[in-house]
Amino acid sequence: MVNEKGKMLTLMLFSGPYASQYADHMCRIAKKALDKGYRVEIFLYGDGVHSQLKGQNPKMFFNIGEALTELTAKGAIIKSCQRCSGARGYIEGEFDEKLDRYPSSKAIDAVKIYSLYSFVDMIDRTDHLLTFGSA
Amino acid sequence: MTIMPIIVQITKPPFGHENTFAGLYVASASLSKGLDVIVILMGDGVYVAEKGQIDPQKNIFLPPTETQLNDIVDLGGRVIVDKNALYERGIEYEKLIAGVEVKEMKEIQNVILDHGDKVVAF
Repeated sequence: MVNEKGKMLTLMLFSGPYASQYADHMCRIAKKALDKGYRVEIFLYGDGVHSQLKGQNPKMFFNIGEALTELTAKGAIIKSCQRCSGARGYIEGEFDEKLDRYPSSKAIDAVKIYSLYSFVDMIDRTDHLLTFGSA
Repeated sequence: MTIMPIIVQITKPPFGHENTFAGLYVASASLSKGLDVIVILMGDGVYVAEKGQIDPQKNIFLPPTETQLNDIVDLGGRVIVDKNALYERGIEYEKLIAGVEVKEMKEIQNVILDHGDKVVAF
C-alpha cells in the first residue's frame, strides 16, 4: 500500500453550500484525508466562498460552516478568494497584516480571505488536487 | 525532476457562467508566478478561443475572455482546443485566436496523462 502520510491534498470548492452536495463531499473527504495523515488545504472559489458565511443554520443538511471550523481544528488550512468574496459582500476593508487576512465580520474565523495567488501557491506545493462543483 | 505544468480545463462557454473567468484567472496568476500552464478548452469551452468577440466589458459588463486568453498565450501558456468540439459547433480554425493548438481528443488525453498531476477543472 502506498504511504500517503505527510503528503498534501488541496481541495477547491467552486459551488455554494446546500444547492448541491459538493461542499458536503469535500468536507467529508478532507476529514478522512486528515485522519489518514494528509496535510489538507482548501480554497473556496466562486460561489464556494458562501461556505464561509457565519451563522449557517440548515435544518436538514450537514452544516458546512461548522464542518469547516472542525476541519481547521484538525489542522486544515482554509482560504477563500478575495475577488469572489469581495463581489459577494464579505470584505470590509483592506488586507490586515496583523490578522493576516482581509477583514470580514460575515465570515467564520476558520476561513481566511486571501488573493487568488495563494491558491496558485497551494497548487504549486500540493501532491494531489481535487476540484468540487466546477465542471 | 520534471516540473509538471498546471492544467486548467474549461468546459463552459465564455459569458453564461463564472467558470471561464475563474479558470483563466487561475491560469494567468500561475503564469505570473512563473509556473507552466496548459489551458484545455473542451465542450462549450471552445467558444473562449473565438476571436472577434464584441467588447463585453462595454456591452454586458463582463471581462473579455478573448483578451485574457491572448494574454495567456503571450505569457507562454499553451492553449489546446478540442478539435471535435469545434467540428460539432461548426467553428472553423480561422475563427480562433492565434497561438492555440487544435488537437484530437486522443492527443488531449495523452497531454493529461503525461502532465496531468495537477488539473483544475472549471
